[in-house]
Amino acid sequence: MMKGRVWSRSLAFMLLGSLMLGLAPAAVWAEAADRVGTALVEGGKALQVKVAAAVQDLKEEPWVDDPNKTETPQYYSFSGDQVLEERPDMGADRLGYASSYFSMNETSNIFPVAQKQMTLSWTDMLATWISEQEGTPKADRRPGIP
Amino acid sequence: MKLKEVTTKKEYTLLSDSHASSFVWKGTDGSNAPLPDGFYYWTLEADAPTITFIVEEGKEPVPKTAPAYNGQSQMVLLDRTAPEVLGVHPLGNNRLAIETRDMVGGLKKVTTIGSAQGSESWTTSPIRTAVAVPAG
Repeated sequence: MMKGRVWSRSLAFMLLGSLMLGLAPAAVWAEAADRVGTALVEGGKALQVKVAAAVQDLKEEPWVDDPNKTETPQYYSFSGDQVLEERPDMGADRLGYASSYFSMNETSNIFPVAQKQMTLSWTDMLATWISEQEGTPKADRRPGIP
Repeated sequence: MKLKEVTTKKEYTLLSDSHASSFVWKGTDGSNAPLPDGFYYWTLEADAPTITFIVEEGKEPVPKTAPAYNGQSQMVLLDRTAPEVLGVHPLGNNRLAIETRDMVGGLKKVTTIGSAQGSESWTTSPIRTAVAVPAG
C-alpha cells in the first residue's frame, strides 16, 4: 500500500514536472530567445563595426612587403589575350601606393636604389632675380648648367 | 624643402634655412630615417624677401620684393621593392598566364624566357598584370 502511494506521488510529481516543462517553457524560452537574439544582434552590430573598422584600417594601411599579405589578384580574367581584361576599378579598391593605372609619365625621376642617393636640384630663383635686377640676367644657375 | 607622399599626404621636411640650389637625397626623411616606398613630391617653400637696391649714388635705395620659390616641385618614385611573380596559370591551348605585380611603381615590362619566349610592355605601368605566353 505504501509502495503504491509513493509510486503514485512520484508519478504525480513527474506529471506535474512534465506539465511545468511543457507549459512554462513557452514564456521562459521566449525570453531566453529574446535575450539570445538581442545578444546576437548586438554581437552582429559590433562585428559589423569591427569589420568596417578593419576594412577602413586596411584601406589606410600602406602596402608592405609581407608574404602574409600576398593576395591573388581578382581584377584580371584570363581570356588568353596578352593583356587580360583590365579592371582599374578593382585596382582602385585594392589600394597600394598609387592606383592600378598610375601613369609613369607623371613622374620624371626614379630614385636610383643601387646608388642609394640622388641629387634634387632647382633653379636658384633669388640669384636669377637679383642678376636680372642688376642687368645681368642668368637663366639658370643649377649645377652643371652654365 | 619639403617632401610629400602622394597617397598618405604625409609631409617631411628635408632641408630648412638653406641657400643651396641642390640637395642630395638618400631616400630618408629630415632625421635620416628611411622613408617607405612610394611616390613623393618635393617642393620648395620660402618667404619672398625684400631686397634694397641702390640704383644711383646719392639717391634713395629702392626696395623690391624678390620672388618666392613656390612652383618648383618634382615627383620622385622611391621603389626599393622588387617586382613579384604571383603565379603561373594554365589557360588551355598550350598557353600559360604569368601573373606579376609591382605594388609601388607598377610594371613596365614582363619578359618570359624558355623554350618559347614572350614579352609585353606597358606605358601605363599597371600594378598587376597577367601575360599569356606559349607554354613551350
